[in-house]
Amino acid sequence: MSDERKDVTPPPGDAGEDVTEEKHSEKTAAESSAASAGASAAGADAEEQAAKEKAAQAGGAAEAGEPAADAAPAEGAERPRRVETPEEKEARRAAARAARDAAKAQAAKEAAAQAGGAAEAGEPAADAAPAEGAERPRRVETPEEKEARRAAARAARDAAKAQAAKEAAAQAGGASEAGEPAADAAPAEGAERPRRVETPEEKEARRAAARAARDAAKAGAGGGAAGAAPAAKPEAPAAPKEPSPNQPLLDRLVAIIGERVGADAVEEAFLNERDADVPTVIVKPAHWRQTAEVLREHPELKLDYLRNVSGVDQETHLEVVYHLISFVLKQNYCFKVKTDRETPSVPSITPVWETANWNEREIFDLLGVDFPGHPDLRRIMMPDDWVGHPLRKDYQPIDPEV
Amino acid sequence: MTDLLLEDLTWRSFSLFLLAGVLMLVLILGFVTYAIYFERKVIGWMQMRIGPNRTGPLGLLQSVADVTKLLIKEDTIPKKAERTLFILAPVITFIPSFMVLATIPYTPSLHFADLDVGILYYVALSGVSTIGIVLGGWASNNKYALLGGMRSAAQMISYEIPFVISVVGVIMLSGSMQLSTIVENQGGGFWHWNFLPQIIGFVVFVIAGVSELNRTPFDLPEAESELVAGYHVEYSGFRFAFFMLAEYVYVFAIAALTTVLFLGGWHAPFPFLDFIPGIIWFLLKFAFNVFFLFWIRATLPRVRVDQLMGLGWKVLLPLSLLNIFITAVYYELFIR
Amino acid sequence: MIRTEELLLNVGPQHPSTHGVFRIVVKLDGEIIIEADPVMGYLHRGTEKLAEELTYTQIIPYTDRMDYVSAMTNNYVLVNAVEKLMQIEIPERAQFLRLIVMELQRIASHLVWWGTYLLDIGAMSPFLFAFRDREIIINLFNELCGARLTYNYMRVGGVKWDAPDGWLDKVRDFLPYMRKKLDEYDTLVSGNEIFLARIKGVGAYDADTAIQYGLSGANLRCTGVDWDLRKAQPYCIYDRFEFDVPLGRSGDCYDRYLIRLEEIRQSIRILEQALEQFPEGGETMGKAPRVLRAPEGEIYSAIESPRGEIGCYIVSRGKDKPYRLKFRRPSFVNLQILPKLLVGETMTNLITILGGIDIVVGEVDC
Repeated sequence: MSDERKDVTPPPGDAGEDVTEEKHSEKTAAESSAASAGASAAGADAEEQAAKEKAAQAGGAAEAGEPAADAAPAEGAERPRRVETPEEKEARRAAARAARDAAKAQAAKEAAAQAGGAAEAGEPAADAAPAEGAERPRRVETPEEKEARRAAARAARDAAKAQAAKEAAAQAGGASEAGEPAADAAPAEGAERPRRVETPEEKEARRAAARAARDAAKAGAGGGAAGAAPAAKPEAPAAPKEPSPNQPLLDRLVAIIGERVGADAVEEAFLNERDADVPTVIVKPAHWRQTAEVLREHPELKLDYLRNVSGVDQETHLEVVYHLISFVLKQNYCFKVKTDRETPSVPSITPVWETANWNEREIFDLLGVDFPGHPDLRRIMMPDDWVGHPLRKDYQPIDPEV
Repeated sequence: MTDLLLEDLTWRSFSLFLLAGVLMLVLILGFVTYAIYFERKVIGWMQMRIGPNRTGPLGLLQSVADVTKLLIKEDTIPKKAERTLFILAPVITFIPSFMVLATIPYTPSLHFADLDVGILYYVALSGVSTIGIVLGGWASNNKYALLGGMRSAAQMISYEIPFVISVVGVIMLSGSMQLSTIVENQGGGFWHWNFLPQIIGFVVFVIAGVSELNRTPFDLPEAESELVAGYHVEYSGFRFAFFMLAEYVYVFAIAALTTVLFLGGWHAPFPFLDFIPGIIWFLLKFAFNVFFLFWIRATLPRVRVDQLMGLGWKVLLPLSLLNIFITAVYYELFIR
Repeated sequence: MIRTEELLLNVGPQHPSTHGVFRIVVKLDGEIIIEADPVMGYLHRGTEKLAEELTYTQIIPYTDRMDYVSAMTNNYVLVNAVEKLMQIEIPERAQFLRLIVMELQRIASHLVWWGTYLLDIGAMSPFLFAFRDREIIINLFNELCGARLTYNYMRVGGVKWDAPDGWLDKVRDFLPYMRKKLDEYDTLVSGNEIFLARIKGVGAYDADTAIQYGLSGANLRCTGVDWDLRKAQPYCIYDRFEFDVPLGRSGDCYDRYLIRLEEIRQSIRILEQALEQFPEGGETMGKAPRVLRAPEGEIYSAIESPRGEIGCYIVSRGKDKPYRLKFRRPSFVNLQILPKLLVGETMTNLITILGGIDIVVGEVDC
C-alpha cells in the first residue's frame, strides 16, 4: 500500500511551485497595468509629493482630474485586487497612501482627500467613470477594496444620502452650500437604495467616508461637496444594474415588521452580498421576541425553521445572529440582535422556536449573553462553576499556557 | 452408583461420592472452559472473524487464561455494598446450577441420582439461582445492578411457569417425572421422540429455557447496552467468575435437559444406528443444543422488558396450557 | 398503596450506549422515565475558539475531529464557506472528487450508525458486518489521502490529492458489492420480528415538532418533510445527478432506520453517475491564493451531512483567520428533542431513541 501511495502521490513541491509561478506572472501583469494607468494620468506632478515610487502612479491617478484618468485607475485598481498577493497589497497600500498624500496637498486634511478625489471627478465627463470604477471592485470585493470604495462611491453616496438622513446633516449643509442644482433631486433617489445593500463592514466604510465628506465640506472646499453630489447621480441609475431578486423581499420584510411590530423595531436592513444577497435585518432587542412571533406566523414569511443561532463578540458590542428559513416559501433570512457588552441581554425566542433552546444556552455559556424568557438557562458546554465566557475576545484563560 | 446410594453412608461411600462430585465438577469446568471457547469461535465465524487463536494452539488455552486472570484478580467489594450478601450472592447462584446436574441421565447406566421427581427437582433448584442474582443486584448498592436484579426476578417469575407447564405434556405421555423413564419411552427412532408429538411444548420449552438462561435475546438482566452489565456490574475477579460459571453450567443443564425431555436422550434417530454407543448420541444432541444457543446469540437482537413480559404471559403461558389440553385429548383418543 | 420511590439514574458519560461521553440523568419510576436531563460538554474542545487563532487551512483538521464519523463532509462545509466568501472557482475534477468522497463518507457513516444501532438493540453481528463493509471505504480513503478517520483531504480551492491510479475503479467495484450487502442487511435485520417490535412506533413525533425543534437529516425526513439540502439548496455539483430523497411517514425509529438504509442506496446511485461523468484529467486545485484572506463579510453556508444540516457561519474581518467561526452541528441540534421524547418511555427505549437520533459526541460538544 505504501509503495502504491508513493507512486500516485504528486510531490507536494510541484503544486506549490505552480502556484508561485502563477502569482509571479499575475503580479507582473498587475504592475504593468498599474504602470500604464500612471503614465496616462501624467503622474509626474504627483511624484514630487508622493513618498514612494510605486505609489506615485496611483497617486497621480487620484489627483488627475482628467476624464480619461478617472476610468483608468478604476480599472487599474480593480485588477490587481483580484489576484492580490501580499506584495501587491503592499504596493496598493503604498499607492493608497500616496493618493492620500497627494490629495492632502489640496484639501489639507487626510480624510478629506478621498472625498476630494471624488469631488474632483465632478467634471461632467467624469460622472460615469468613477461610478463604474466604484461598482466593479465591489463585486470582486476583497477586504482591501474597502479602502478604494471609500475613496469614491461611498463618499459620493453619503453625500447624496445626506439630504435624506440626519446623520450626514453636516454634509447636507455642505451640499446645499455648494448650491449645485444637480445635487438636489437626483441623489435623493440614489440615497435610499444603496443604503440597503450595504454589508456591516460597508457601514464602517460609509461612516468613514461620511466623516471625510463632512470634513471636506467643513474645509470649505465647496467644489468638493458639490462634486460629490453629481458623482452620486450616476450611482442611482447604476443601482438597478445589479438588482437582487431579494430586494423586494427585504422591502416587504421591513414593511411587515414595521407594520406588525413597530416602526422603530428595525435598526438596519440590508442584503448580505457575500451570502447570496440574504435579506438581513438588525432588530432592536426590545422588539425581538415580538418580531420572532410575527416572522413565524406571518403568511408572507412563514419562517418556521430556525437553522442556526450564533453569538458574535464584535468587541464594541455583542451580536446574536439567527438564520431562518421558511419550509413553505423556501426563503432564507438572517436576523441580528445587538446588545451591549457589559450587561448583554437578548430576549429568548425558545418559546417561538425550540431549536433556540440549547443554542441560547451555548451562547450564554460561551459569550455570556443573558436570554430572559429562556426556560432553563444554564451553562451547557463548560462546567457549572466556570469563570468567564471563553468566546469573548477579551477572555483570559486561567492557565495561559493551555 | 445407585446401589451405593441405597446403602448406609460409610467413609468409603462418602469418599466415593465426593470423588464423583469433584470429578463432575472438573468435567463441568472443562465443559465451561471449552463452551466459552466454542461460543467465541462459533460467533466469530458467524461474524466473519477468526475468534480466539493466540493463546495456545488454535487459541485453545484462551479460556484457561481468562479464568486464571479472573482468579488472580484483586477481589474488590464496594464500600457501600451489603458485604455479607454481596459475598453470598455468587455462591447462591452457582450451587443450584451444579446441583441440578445430579438428576440428568446421560446413558442408561451413567447417571447420578435418578429421582422420581427429576423434573420438579430441576425446576425447584434452578429457581434458587435467581435469588442469588437478585441478592447480588441489591447488595451491590448500584442502580444498574438493582435494575438488572429486578428484571431477573420479573423474568424468572414470568418464564418459570410456561417452562414447567410445557413439560407437563411430556409427563402425561410418559406417565412419569423420572427423567430416565421419560428417555426410555422415546426409544425406537426419532419419530418416537417427544419433540414431534409435543411440538408446541417443545417450542415453548426452548423459548422459556433460553429465557431462564438469561441469554440473548432474553439477556435483559445483564443487557449491556442499557444496564452496562446488569446485576454483576460491581463484581470482578473470582466472584464474577462464579456468575459466569453458573450461566454456562445452566447452558449445560438446559441443553442436557432438552435432549432428555424432547430429543430422545441417548437413543439413536434410527434403530439400525443402535450399534453406536448411547453416550455419543447424547453428546451429539447435546452439542447441537449448545450450538443452537450460541447461534441465536449471534443472530437476534434483544427484546424489550415489557415485550418479554407480554410474550411470557400472553403467548407462552396460553400456548403451554393449550398444549396440555391437546395432549390430554390426544391421550384419551389414541393411546388409551 | 405501595409507596414507590423515584430513582435517579446517571447514564454516562461512560456507558456503552451513549456513543462516547454523552451523559443523561434520568429520573425513573420503576423502569419508566419521568424526566431526562442531558448533560454534555465532556468532549468540548473549544474548536470555535481555537479557530479564531488559526488560518483557514489550519482549521480543516479541526473539522475532522468534530464529527469524526463523517470527516469528509465536515471538511467540505468549512472549505465551501470560505470558497463562497472568497469567490474561488473549483476545478471540475476537484468537484467530482469531493462529491465522491462525500457520498462514500455518507455510506460509511450510515454503516457505522447501522452497526452501532443494532448493537444498542442487542444484536452483535450486524455491527461487525457493517464495519467489515465500512472498512473497504476506509481503505479507499486511506489510499486517497493517507488517513483512515481524520482525512484533512479538502483544501480551499480544491482537494489535496488527486485520485491514485485505479482508485476510481476500486470505487466502481465497491458499489455493486455494497448493493448486494445492503440486501443482505435487509434479510438479516430489517424483517426481524424482535427488531421491529423494538423500534416500530418508538420515539415518534410529527412534522411540526420536528421543524419546531430544528431537526434535520433523517430525523426530519422521517416525518415526511422533504428537506435534503443536496436537493433543496444544491451545493457542490449535486444538481447534476439524479437521486431520490427517501421520506418517512410515521416519524418513528423504524422510519429513520429505513431512511438511512435507503440513503445508502441513493448514495450508490449518485456515485455511479459521478463515476460515469468523471472528467478526464484536469486540476485538483483551483486558483486559490497561498495566503487565504477571506474578504470582510459574513456567510452562513450549510450542507447535508449524514446527520443532517451541518452549517458554518464565518465572520471575517479580512484577515487570514476568521474573526468568528460557528458551526451548526446537526447532532447538537437534533439531540434537543431527546428529553421530550424520553418522558414516559422505558430505560430500554432510551437507548433505542438515542441511537435512532444518531449523534456523534464530538459534534455535539464541538
